[in-house]
Amino acid sequence: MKIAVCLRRVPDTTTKIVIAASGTAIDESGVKFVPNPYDEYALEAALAIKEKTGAGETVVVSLGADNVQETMRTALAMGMDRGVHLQGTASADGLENARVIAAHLRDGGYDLVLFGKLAVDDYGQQTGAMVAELLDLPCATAITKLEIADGRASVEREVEGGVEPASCALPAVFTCDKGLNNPRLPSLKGIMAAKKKPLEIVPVTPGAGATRITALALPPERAGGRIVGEGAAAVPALMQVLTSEAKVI
Amino acid sequence: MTAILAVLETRNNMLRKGAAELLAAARRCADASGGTVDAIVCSSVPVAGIEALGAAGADRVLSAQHADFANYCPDGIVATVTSLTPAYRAVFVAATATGKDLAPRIAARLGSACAMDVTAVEASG
Repeated sequence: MKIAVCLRRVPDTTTKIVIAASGTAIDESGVKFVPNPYDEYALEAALAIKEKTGAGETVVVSLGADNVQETMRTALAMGMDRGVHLQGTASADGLENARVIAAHLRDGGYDLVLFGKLAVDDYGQQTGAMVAELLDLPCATAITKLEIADGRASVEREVEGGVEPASCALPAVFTCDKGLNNPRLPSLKGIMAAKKKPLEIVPVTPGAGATRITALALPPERAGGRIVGEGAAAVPALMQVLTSEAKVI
Repeated sequence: MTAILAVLETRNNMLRKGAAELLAAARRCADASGGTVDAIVCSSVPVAGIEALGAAGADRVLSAQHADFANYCPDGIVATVTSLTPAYRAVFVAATATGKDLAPRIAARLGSACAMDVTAVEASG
């Protein structure tokens, strides 16, 4: 089994986001970047499959500037065999990025291509399924179960009010959701080994695409709470507020 | 003029809730430029309730029937939607697990941009 996992570098989810002076990007100064959490499920799935089958190759693929290499090293420290850095500036248009990734994967001989179901920075939720479509491969998004046997994959995906099982022949593309597994942490030995693992650099030029980010805005500030009183004595005032102001009862 | 296609979801050959909301959004967007809204429903047998979709905002309802549409069949839906001519200026799907599965595939097949979890949309030109 030859497995590719596409990995995105994203701000740590606890980051307090500040919008840059340009108004169309975030201020990256002082921001800690981490592997996209959903991509970690994909990495773990790839590593588990290789361990189970005892053969094959796991490749981490990232598109972006040189700083993605640091994030890729984390994946290599988890146990991925090698990395391919698609070196270039990612487009705001998901399809342009998908085209670059698909072009690289097309002749790679991969049996399985895994993504996270979304990247927690822009919540684009499209690259994986687009790559599958561009490569004309079967695809299931947001999977919570993955089993490989006899050249076929069986998956489950959670939908509103149910679980959708599906199966297909390999090669295939899946995007991974929380619940698929528990991603491992890099071991000290893994971190040392990662420094020596091969990381190939492939220059790419994603097109500008049709999508432009015209402005970013922070979510509206939440209004502060209000204490209407204490104990049983507050009940009439609270009832008054709930019925006439909040209109919830 | 904006010709919009709204892809409505079915489950067990029933329309899923949210169809009216999706059609309303498509209708608003189309009306701003004197456009049209078609709704497409993929199922394996006739779906009850599609005759009410006109009142919900659809100018036309396309019913695509195939045995494979008894369960969710993304490849079939993508092939059906992208084979329609003349091409639509925009395709609307609900931001559900199914819609999010379909939207990027339709976009990739059409070579179009895709936006997810949209809360407001406006067409110009």
